[in-house]
Amino acid sequence: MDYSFIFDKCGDRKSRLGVIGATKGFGYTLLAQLTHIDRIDLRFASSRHPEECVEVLKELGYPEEKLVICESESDVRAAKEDAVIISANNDIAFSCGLTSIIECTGNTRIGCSIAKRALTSGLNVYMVSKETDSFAGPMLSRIAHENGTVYALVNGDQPRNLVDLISWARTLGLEIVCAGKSSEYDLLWDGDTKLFSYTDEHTHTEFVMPEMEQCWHYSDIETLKKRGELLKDYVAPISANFCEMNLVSNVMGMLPAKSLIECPILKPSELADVLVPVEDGGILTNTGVLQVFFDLRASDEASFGGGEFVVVKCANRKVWELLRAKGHVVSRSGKYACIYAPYHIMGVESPMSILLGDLLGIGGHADTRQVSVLSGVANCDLKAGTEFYVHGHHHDINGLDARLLAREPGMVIAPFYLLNGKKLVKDVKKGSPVMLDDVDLSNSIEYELYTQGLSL
Amino acid sequence: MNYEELLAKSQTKRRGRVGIIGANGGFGYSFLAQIPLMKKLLSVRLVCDLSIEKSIELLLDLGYSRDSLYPCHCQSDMDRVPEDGIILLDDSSLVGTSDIDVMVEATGQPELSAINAEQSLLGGKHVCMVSKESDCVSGPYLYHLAKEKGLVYAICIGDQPANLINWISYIEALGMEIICAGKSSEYDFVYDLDSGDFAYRDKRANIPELRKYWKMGDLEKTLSERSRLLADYPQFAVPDYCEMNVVCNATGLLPSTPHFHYPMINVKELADVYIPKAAGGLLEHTGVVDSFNCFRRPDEVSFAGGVFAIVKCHNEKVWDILDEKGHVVGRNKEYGALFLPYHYMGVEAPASILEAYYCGLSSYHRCDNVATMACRTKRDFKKGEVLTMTSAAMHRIIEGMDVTLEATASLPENVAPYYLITDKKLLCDVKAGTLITQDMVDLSGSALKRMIDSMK
Repeated sequence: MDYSFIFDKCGDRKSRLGVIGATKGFGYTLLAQLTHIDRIDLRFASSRHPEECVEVLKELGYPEEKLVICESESDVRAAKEDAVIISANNDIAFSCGLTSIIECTGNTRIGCSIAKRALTSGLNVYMVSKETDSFAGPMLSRIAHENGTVYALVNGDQPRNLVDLISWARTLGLEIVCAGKSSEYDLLWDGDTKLFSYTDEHTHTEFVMPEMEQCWHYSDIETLKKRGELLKDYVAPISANFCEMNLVSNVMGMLPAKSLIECPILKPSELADVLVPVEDGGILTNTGVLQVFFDLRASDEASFGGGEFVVVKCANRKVWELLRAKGHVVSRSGKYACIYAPYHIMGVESPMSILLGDLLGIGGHADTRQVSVLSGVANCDLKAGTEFYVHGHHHDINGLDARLLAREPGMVIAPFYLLNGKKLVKDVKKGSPVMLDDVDLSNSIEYELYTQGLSL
Repeated sequence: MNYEELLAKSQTKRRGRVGIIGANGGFGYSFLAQIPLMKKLLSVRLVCDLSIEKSIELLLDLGYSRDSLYPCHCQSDMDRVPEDGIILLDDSSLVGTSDIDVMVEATGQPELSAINAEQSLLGGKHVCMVSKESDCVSGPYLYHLAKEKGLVYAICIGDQPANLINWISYIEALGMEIICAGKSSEYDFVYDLDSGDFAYRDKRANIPELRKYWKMGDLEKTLSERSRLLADYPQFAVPDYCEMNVVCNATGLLPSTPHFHYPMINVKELADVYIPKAAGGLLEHTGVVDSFNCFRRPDEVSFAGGVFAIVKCHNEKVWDILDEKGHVVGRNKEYGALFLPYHYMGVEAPASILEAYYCGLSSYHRCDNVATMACRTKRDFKKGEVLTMTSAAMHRIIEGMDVTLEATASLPENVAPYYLITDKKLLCDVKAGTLITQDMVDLSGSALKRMIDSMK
């Protein structure tokens, strides 16, 4: 469909957006993009450091005379209708005449409370904070549905992009065997120099790795084992990956793959050979599931871009042989194909979700349920009194390993990100998951939303 | 876009009835294989092809039940076909008065497909056009006719034109400037750096000299050497001009040069090549379309005849982040490439049917005669010669004609588009090096000519 066309039908309607808590990373990419979108007016931006926020907005080309720091509602009333209100006080958002907010704080408590308040006050909520959505998404989706508002994940980050890809494939009647994404930061190898390299946000590693020659070309599962052994220092489980699959699981009703804990190291051309059932030479022991892989590529080859994929069954051999001849990724067996979108352009893409939600009411999933739960397993003996905090690029919590589990009846595991800012009231032994009654959850809106969500 | 949700919002409840004209090709086969997988949304109601016998054979091969097939030769035959039966025709003039909701035109015959589309629109049916050969000539007329009738006329998803038009509209809706857009060659140029072995479809050669030009050094030198060393393999195709003609008409983008640049490049190089000359690339102008030859390693995933758009990096910090996450960003960090490496033909084509029938949405937001495929004689032609398409070097072309894609505004008003003159007779002698204009060709009885004229 032509995307300009669908919004043209909306007359001169516009979004008036509040951005909650973001001037860096994802938030920066979003604020930079909004200046190019006529149908979205940035009306409110909250930041713990309003002056810094002003500087960022100025740098991005927002006219200085429109930027107004406000501390109270009366400040807002005094400001012009087209002013961009900047405040450290989130409450002010509700006096700015917004149509929606986009939540980027990453702070679970703030995220839960502002999202709930917004959804019940007639504002749509776009949730960038994956941690918050991982346990509060089901109830927030329900609240939105009951209040005629939209609660949605955003395009530009993998969960929503994957949800959309899955929904497209399902609509076309394709049977999904596996869906997922590549982990961020690729594993690179140069066949000429045998140099292996890996670059993440903080480090750049590079050294000669002749052994890769033995497992560069995929032959069977043994190849994966060799790669895993060779690159074990670079493929440790990443909390953020599990969290993202948790979101997709809840929205789409799909379970995590049993193999999710060990993400295979693959080239995109191998996805349809490996992310398929064991009996067909792959690694899946359950199907219709979510899996993450690490992208292995030649150093001068295009990346998967942290993109998303679905592996589907080839319903008709002739059709897929024709598509294979045209270069599409079809398994050697001819039974499976991989469809993928090699990008997630962060806040550059998110305005699409805001426009779809605000102008067309699209993006919410009232039937979101807690289908899987991200559990925090103690990776050392933890004493009562230990406090948990999410930190770092991969959204880790010290002392805990994240594990994504299918939800079971009566499950009393504490969701990983629900533990953010919470204190242990009991000792937890190494290897045990933290349970709900292991932590102090009094006066916790996060816990309230989670338990309400479980009862849906 | 979330398809399931978009469709759920639609008021239309009855399952869509689809008819296809021109079923016995690769597209038709993949399309007819897909629709039965979408039982809740769509059903095949009508199949029209030259031979009903062949259609029956095809449908039986695809698993359709013999009892559901009803050969029809007149209106009253069609009227007697039960609700769940499939009407089989060999006369496409009956399609307009059938009870289908959406007609898919896949004959690939320029004159015939334009007439079929017109009759279907006049009969109140939405039209999804697969025959790009007629669309690039009669698209503007059919689009406006559909608009007048409150119907959808769309170029069908699954082939590159629609996929690229949609992709461009998505990127433009996000406020980004398109520098260049296009597609890759239908088949890849695959080179094994270790052995020096080269492969193009079923052809093989050992070309050790090519290794020197695998890495991009000086842009012009590298591209010309790659192209020279692979001169035995087809590096351009007339249908590419046709496909990009459709894209120009829908988007207002113009051809890069009359014959396109056709660089032999790896995906990773897109944002270094399709950028302005001043920035070190190939482009004289921006806002253009082109086509590249996909040059890759054997175990590198193919571009699969997919589509791309080059955008200007509007903000350095944003694109640094996207670069770090693996997206294709040019060496000078000024341009980025966003791409979809697929075109799933009839597998994804039903998306166009759903958009038309359930949502009233088209791939077209506009359709004007922006570009034209022009023909110049490469030899002397005699009065009375028929400009027959012959199969040569994999493609159907008119022998002795040089074909270009040019801005319509830069051509004489009576220029004869390539697909208008195919199979038509010359009314006069034509010297080598002459641009073919409409007055040189016998266009009596041509529906395409009538449609072009009515848009003046």
